Amino acid sequence: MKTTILMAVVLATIISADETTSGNLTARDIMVKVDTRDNGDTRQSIMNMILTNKAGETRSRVIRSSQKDYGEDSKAQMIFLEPADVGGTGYLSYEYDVVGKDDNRWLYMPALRKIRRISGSSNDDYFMGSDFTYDDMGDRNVDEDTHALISSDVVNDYDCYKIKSTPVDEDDNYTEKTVWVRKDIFMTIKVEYFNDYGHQKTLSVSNIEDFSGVMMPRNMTMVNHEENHKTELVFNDIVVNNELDDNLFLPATLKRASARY
Amino acid sequence: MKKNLFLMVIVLATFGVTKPVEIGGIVESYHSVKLSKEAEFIGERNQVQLDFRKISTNLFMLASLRGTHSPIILEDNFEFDVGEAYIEYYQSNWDIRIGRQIFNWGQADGIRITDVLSPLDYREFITRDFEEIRIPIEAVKGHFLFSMVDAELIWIPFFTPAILPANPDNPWYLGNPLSAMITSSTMPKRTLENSEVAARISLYFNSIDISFSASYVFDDMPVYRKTETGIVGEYNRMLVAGLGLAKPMGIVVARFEGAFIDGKHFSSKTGNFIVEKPSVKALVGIDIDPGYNLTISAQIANEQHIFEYDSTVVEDEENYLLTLNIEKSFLREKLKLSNMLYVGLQKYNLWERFSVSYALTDDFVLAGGVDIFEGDKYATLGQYDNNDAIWLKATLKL
Repeated sequence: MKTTILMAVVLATIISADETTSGNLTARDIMVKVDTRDNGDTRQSIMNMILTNKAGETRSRVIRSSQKDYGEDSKAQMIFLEPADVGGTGYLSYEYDVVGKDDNRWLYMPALRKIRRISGSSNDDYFMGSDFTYDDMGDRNVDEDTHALISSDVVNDYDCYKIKSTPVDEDDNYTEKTVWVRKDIFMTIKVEYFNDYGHQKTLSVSNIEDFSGVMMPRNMTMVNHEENHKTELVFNDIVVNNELDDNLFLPATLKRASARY
Repeated sequence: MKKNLFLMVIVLATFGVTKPVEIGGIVESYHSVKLSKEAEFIGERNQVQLDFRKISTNLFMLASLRGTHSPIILEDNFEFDVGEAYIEYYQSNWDIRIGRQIFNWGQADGIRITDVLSPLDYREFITRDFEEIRIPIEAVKGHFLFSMVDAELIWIPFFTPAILPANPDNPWYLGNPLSAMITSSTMPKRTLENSEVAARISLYFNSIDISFSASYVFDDMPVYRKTETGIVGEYNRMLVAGLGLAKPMGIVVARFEGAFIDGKHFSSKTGNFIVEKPSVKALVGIDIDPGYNLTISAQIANEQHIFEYDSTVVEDEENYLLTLNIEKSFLREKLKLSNMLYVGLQKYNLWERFSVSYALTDDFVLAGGVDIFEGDKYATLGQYDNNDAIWLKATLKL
């Protein structure tokens, strides 16, 4: 009887250990692999953003995006091409992979004809009326969340790690996220976002293609269950690892009309 | 007007014979009515602006053509003009822009500290957005990029003055007490010597932007000198040396802008009615972005501190101004509420604008609001105390 109980305790210990590890990988290890996955040293694309409200009405935005990695940090330039109301607006950000260090951000508004330094701290406002917040659009340090491996799961016929990520900052917009990571390429293909009111949003990543050895998605869809609203991102003209001049990512470049149209 | 039409034809022909161009622009209709028993129309403006853009290898070209119908403000009711029209040639580390262009320097919003290059069209005072009333000027701008530093060198071949409401029937007429005695105005002759030049260096460091500027330009507002033949309006040369700072701190961005001005002329009660004094302008502002689709901007500025001041100078030694702008958007940025407040502190006077805008589509916006002027009748804002008005505007972006 005592041996049976002892065996049960040992088995329970082993099983509970499996809740945070998969083979030799911890949940954090998996998220680090996701974060450090090769996504190219440079990336360019034309991003079509389609917003759909609960009545089925759509609005669209077109953004030209350029990104370049500098070690763990990255610089990104976004030029808003459509709608006409924001056409010619330029946005530049320097994102740092250091917890607590604010991004450097600038905005060029064509109506004002000048560069504006804007806040680099986290922002939970929706980006251009979409279901992605400014934080969702940016990069996030792995250690801004604690991670726990829940189980394995299958999403869209792909074997995935299912991970629960909980923000370290109690004031974070989300209380937790459930993340599905493809085991073969360590790419996140589904995220469920939870807030104080429950399951708020679901992100789905699809049409992942190989661009010269770099796996990039062509589609991302964020469904906002609270507001019955959806945002689809369609990435066209994707170019990876092309030579991008460092000058492209200077605030001064936004002053050029040629850079913004 | 004929000259403007000729220029329009040239511009269109130039673009027309080349590869297809991108066409954008604005169609806008604006109407405002005084808050008075008579409910008199104080603003009526219909405007079409077409922007022609062409991009080719290392080249960008822009031409804006504008047609405005404004029977209350424009003496001829109609006005055609060319807005910006320039060619920009660029390489990796430098670019040059030649033609009619608009400049907006400085960290200030709605207040001009180092922003002395592009004059303004004051025919509707400042009730139109600053970006709508900036007058494009002919200039050559060289722009040089050195990593996180860039330099701009600007040559403005000839001077362009501000446009003031000269028609006494214009509700924004300034009513210069000397106007009845003004016999003429002299503009700087269009010579090389009377060219204007300006330079600015901007540095973008981690968490702070700094800019240094110097402008050797003519004051775009006239002063009136007493001469043997009468009162003559004139424009005087001044040197403006400026400094600007912007520093983000969490959800706040702090801004500073200052300028030392040498050569500015002020009105005098004695002698030939003008006097030259050195002066300083300065501004401190903050932008707060707390989230919730809310933005708050506040500024306090001293629009002029006149050195070596004495009692013969007509203008006040100091002129403090406070501005507060609050904007909140709803319905995924389709609906925006905005409240803008300017308060003159030296002689209490204010302008309050509350507005609501709704985007029926991404390109079509309806807006409405109310303008309230209060305070000292001899102060900049208070003098328009009788121009309180409600307004409506429809804007279609092409």
